[in-house]
Amino acid sequence: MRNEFWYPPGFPWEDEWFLQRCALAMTVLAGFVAFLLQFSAALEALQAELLLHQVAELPDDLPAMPPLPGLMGGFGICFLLLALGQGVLALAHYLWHYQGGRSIYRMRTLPQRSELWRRCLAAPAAALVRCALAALCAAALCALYYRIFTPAGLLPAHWLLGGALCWN
Amino acid sequence: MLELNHVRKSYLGSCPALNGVSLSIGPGEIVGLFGANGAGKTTLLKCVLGLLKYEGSITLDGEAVTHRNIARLSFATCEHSFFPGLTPAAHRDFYREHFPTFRERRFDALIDFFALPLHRRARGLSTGQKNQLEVTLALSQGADYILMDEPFAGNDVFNREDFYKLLLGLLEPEETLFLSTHLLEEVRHFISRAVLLDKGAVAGDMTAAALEEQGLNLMDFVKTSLHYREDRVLNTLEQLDDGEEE
Repeated sequence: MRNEFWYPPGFPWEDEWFLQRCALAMTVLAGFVAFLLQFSAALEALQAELLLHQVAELPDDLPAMPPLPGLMGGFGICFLLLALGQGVLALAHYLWHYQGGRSIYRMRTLPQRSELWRRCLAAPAAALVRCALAALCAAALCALYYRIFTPAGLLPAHWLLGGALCWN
Repeated sequence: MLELNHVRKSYLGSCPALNGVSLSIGPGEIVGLFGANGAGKTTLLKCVLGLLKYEGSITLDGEAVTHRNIARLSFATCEHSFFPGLTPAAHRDFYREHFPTFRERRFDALIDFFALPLHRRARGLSTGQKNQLEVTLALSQGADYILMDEPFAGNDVFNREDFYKLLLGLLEPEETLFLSTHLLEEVRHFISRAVLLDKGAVAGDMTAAALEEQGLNLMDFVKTSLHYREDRVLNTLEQLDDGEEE
């Protein structure tokens, strides 16, 4: 099916298509950088704490790295902003029908009742799905990084989901 | 038959825009809708199309106007309901796709008549050309009832006169035109019925034949029905003169 079918008639969908991809790539990058910064800060703080106590031998209750979810705040905010942006985009699609006339009248009087909403919401909804998939992939990358670069002794027991999501 | 029964519409914080309008418009009629600015003409047309919520009932052959029968109504407005980012050719594709009764030959004929550039985006057309595209689309949709709201605001007189002539030959017997305009003189030979709105209510409703029988012309009928005060200009000028003398 033609791409313009999913956008308001006459909408510059190629521009939006390009900008969406740029925004997604930048969000993945920004999310990963945000995670790296939080990870580095947490690791440095932990190493500083260990140094402060001048631990010669590792005790059993050694402070550990915060679990992964605790380091994903910045990452989450990046993707949350992109997701919220889709709501703004849907509104922009709707308001497009008020630009240079009142094509909203035409859309609201089409025999195909769902046409207006399909053209306003379809692209942002698809972008939301892409955003969720990208977030999952990027989160997996972060988890991999966390697992590889956290010193073995500092890895908490429930590092992946954190204590709150674990039953034992 | 398009039937309006006791249609009322009020905008928030203002007096009623429509105050119990009842009308029946049959197939094949060419109805002129007249009234002063703010009389409720545009509101009435928008209510018929379901673009505004209203009280009362509006039916098309006994059925409420919904998405099932909305294609039987088309609308040309001076606000322009076409898509500014599409060319006339792309509009033709869009209409062909959405309206099974789209009249492609009529579309092409009107585009030729108005000499509209087929591949220029609508936003790049002049005001007159935009009106022409709007009217072309309304007439080509394949609707039984064609609603027009000041479709030629900004067009030159020759284009308008020629268009009205063309329209008379173009419309098929079952096609109905409901035309809101201020250009009384131009449409007086063209309409089969005149409906006058005043302060949201029907102030007059007469067929062209009845007007002719009574020896009235459209302008007299409108002036009488709307209680036009011939002396208002003179009174204002006199008031101004008195003020200056003091």
